[in-house]
Amino acid sequence: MKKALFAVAGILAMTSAVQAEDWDTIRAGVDAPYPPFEYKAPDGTLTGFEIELGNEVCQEITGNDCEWVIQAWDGIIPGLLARKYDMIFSSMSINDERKKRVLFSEPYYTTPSAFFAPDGNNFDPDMASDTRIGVQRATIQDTYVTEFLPDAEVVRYTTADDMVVDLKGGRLDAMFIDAPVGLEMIGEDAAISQVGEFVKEPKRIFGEGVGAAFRKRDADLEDAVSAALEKLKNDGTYDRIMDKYFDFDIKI
Amino acid sequence: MDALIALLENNDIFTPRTLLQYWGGLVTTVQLVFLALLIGGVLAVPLALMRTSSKVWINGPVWLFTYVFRGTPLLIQLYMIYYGVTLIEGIQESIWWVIFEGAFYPALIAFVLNTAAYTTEIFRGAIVATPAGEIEAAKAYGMGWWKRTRRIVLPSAFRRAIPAYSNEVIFMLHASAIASVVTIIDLLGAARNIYAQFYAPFPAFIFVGCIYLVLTFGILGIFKKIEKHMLAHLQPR
Repeated sequence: MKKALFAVAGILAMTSAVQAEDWDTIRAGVDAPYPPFEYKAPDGTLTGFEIELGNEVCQEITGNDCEWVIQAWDGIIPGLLARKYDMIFSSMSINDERKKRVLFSEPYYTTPSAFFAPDGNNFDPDMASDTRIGVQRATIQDTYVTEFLPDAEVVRYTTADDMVVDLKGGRLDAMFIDAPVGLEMIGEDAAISQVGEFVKEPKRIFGEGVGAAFRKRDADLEDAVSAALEKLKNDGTYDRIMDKYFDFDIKI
Repeated sequence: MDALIALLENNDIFTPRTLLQYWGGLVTTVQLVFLALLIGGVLAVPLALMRTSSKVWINGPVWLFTYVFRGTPLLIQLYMIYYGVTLIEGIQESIWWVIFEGAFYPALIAFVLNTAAYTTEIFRGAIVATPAGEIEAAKAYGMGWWKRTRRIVLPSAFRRAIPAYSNEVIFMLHASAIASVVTIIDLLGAARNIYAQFYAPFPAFIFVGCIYLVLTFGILGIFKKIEKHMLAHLQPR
């Protein structure tokens, strides 16, 4: 009986200690490497767009850098719920399925999609009737092209690699793909380039972007992080970090 | 039965629009398989005769062809013919691009060569199994090689090949499902699109599996008819 009482008291003491936490360090879970968002620099330190941005956010709230915890992607939400870290800052797209488990901050970036076409075939997304456009099956790009370019022939691929081979081989007039992935895949190939603007709208298809995730009870931390992100987006810190890693705008 | 009708009325997946997609897929699959079997079968007859030749320079190249096409997966052959050709310098400007631009003809070529290789070996086996007495009798009648082959060897060889060949036809039907990896919307391609659209793998794939079953059933029925007609002397009484 006495033992049980001690146990209860111990649990009570622990919970009250957690509630009293005033966030002097924020432990952030991250799935690395995922360049250029998070990766190890040659000297072994963790760096990348989200690492730098996350540290700025933690500086705003606590005056210290975040304490980064590396966690593989498939266990990243369970790790948060098991209190291994207090925040996920790891390119997690906001969606309804995840909202059931975690609390999201305001979004802090979104990657646009873009059309890529061989130079000289004069592909124009606004006049795409009777053209062959490649997409990866079941992606948001597939949904977008099917809905907004009904006159084009949509060719669906299982992998992005096959699509790039067909684009280079002259079987497609254009491909529509996540912009960073597309830029990465065409690489140094001078004969293929991006056509038209980046596509981010409508939100219904392209999603709300990427946000930091928290345990549902830590609404105060979520508020603090969202406020810090808002400040960094406005005072130029965000843009400075973004320009270091990207040639294009991922701000949302 | 009422439950079945209610199920069909209350589902989002099997709407007229998706059924039309399946129908389009069915037409493509049947076209592809039929043309591949027809062309492959026609090619296989001379190849099988060459394969039975005792002269190495006739027999050898055919042996190599069947060895390569039976010895590598059809998926690799399809990849080579569909993606491989785009790497040939200048093919996009040549007359051949008319054939290779779309996905249908490269897939057809791969299927024709594959089924021709298998069918050649099936026919070869049947030709080799011709009883020596029949050939001897034909020779005694003074028939030359060509007449003997046309009148005696091939007709009896075709009969003997029927059961094995019906297997090849069914294999070809099922093998044609890999056409969907090179962007052809065949039956499986349609199922994959519908799966991706509704995130419902089970209904999409079970339905398409049933279509393949029905097609196989039809093929079996046809071959049963043919066997009854051509192999009447072998039927159990």
